[in-house]
Amino acid sequence: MNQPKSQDRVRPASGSLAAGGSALAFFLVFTWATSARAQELSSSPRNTVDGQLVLALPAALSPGMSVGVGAGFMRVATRGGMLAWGARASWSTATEYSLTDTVRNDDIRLRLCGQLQHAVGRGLFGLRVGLGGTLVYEDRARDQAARAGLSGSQAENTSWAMLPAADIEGLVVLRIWNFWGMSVSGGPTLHGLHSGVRAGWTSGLGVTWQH
Amino acid sequence: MATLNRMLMITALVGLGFPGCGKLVGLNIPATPLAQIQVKVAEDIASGPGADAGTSDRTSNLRVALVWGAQWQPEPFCLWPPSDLLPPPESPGVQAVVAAGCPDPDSFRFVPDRDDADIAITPGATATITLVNLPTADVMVGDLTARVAYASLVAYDDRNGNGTLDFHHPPRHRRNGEPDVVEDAGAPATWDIVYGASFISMTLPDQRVAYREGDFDTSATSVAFYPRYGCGAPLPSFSILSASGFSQADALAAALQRQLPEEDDLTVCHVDTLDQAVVTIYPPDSAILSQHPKMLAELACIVNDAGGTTLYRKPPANEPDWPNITWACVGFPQIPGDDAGVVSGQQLVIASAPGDACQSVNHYTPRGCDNEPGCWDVTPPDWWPCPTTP
Repeated sequence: MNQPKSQDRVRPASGSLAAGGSALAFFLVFTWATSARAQELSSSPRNTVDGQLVLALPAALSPGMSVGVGAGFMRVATRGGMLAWGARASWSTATEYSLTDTVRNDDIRLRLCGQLQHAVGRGLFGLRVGLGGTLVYEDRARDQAARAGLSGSQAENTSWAMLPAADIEGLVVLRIWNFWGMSVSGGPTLHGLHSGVRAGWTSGLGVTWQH
Repeated sequence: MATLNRMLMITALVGLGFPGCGKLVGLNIPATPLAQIQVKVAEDIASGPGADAGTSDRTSNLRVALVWGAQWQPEPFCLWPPSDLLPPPESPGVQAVVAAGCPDPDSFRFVPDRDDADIAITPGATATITLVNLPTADVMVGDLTARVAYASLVAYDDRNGNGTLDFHHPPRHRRNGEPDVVEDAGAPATWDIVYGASFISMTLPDQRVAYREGDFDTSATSVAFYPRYGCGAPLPSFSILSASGFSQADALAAALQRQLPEEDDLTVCHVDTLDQAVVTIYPPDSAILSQHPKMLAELACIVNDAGGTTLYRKPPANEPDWPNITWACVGFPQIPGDDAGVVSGQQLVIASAPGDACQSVNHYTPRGCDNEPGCWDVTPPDWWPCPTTP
């Protein structure tokens, strides 16, 4: 998969560099040139490792946006490279405020993933389905507790919960230099809470390494 | 890489295997109380006089409100009333005006600022008042390193059933001839009736809720805020304080010497934690209540000017209803120790009507100033009852 095609190859861009002059032009040309070299050197990416900046709706906290980082590993499962499987994990946190409390939720998302994918040029387009759980650590601090002389559980409470979860994410991976590239993903999520199923979303932007 | 993959798989499988563990509450829970105060109302709390005296359901809407106290100074006229310029029977006299218009029972009363928590209660039973907010900075006296707030627990009949103690205020007078702001207090039959309070006046025994932040500096101004001189300092955060009170005469004498009055009986002084104390609200002594009939009603009155400033106004165009008002012609009060002396001239003072929700005194003078550039010197109207020469 992702074998370089002749029409995708470009010449080394030393001439363009000399003719350019601006930093932007240099960057674009350099990126283009190095990506071409990457395709020349790469073999079929049986393994993909990525790290992402994660933005998501919190798994359990009603409002807000959870921000954090995540990582995953996918491995091609079929000879044609159409299917891959692997696992992903991410940590993100969100803090929200009521009139009396400050609540912080740390979401640790753990997923087993299956991925349907198709390579086009330097890109890889895919649909990833994840099943697993989200471990939520909740920290609730009572505002003004210290001024009121409260301590212990009257001032702060913490709890853990493991929520079953499922994600469907569309993703695009673009190889830029050698084995390295960038990825963008996003899609809906479902979490099982005590009160029912909560729909949400998750997204990521990050760096990939394919080999 | 394979190791990482296995670890991720294991953790994900753990997540699938133990779904729904733990309990998250998020923001959807009642607020954790910051303080819980035990309060009890005496069985005979509703035995005193009041607009609903004699009715059988005086305790059906009985409630207790926690009311934070205001920093307040009485107007000099009520503390040092000047002499009459007109003898009886031409005028009811200045003492009658003081009795009808100055706060009851004295100028050392507890003045409400705002109510906080409010609960229904049954006479004889102990209930808990829960505070979910701390007193705001404007009800505390002192700086950030040492400040204090005091509250009284007020038992009242919630006559309009709105679940809160409704405050009234005296008429608010605008300056420069603009019309007064008259409070729409509703029908008197719907006014809440106060039956008792844990803190009515500094001249009576009291049990009060204290909230303290930082130190309690005995040299700071916060000590003079509803003082308990000779008693122990309030505890950090919330506490319940008890004191015996002092007489008004002692308080005035001490004030003139720039001292704080000492409590009459220091053995009554107590400082308790919220767990230790039950604040008990008794009806006032009937003898005191007959002497100061508006004492309890004033607990539902906020003041217009907490600084003790007297607002003087031009004589109104319309003649007052003399038979139905309490009035007097007097000079201006002399504050002992004030080297500026007594202002020459005269004033007509008119007390609030007996049916008004709050007591107040209106001051009229043909020559004066209202603390703004527009001073006046007008010819008194034909009905002006006071001597026209100073």
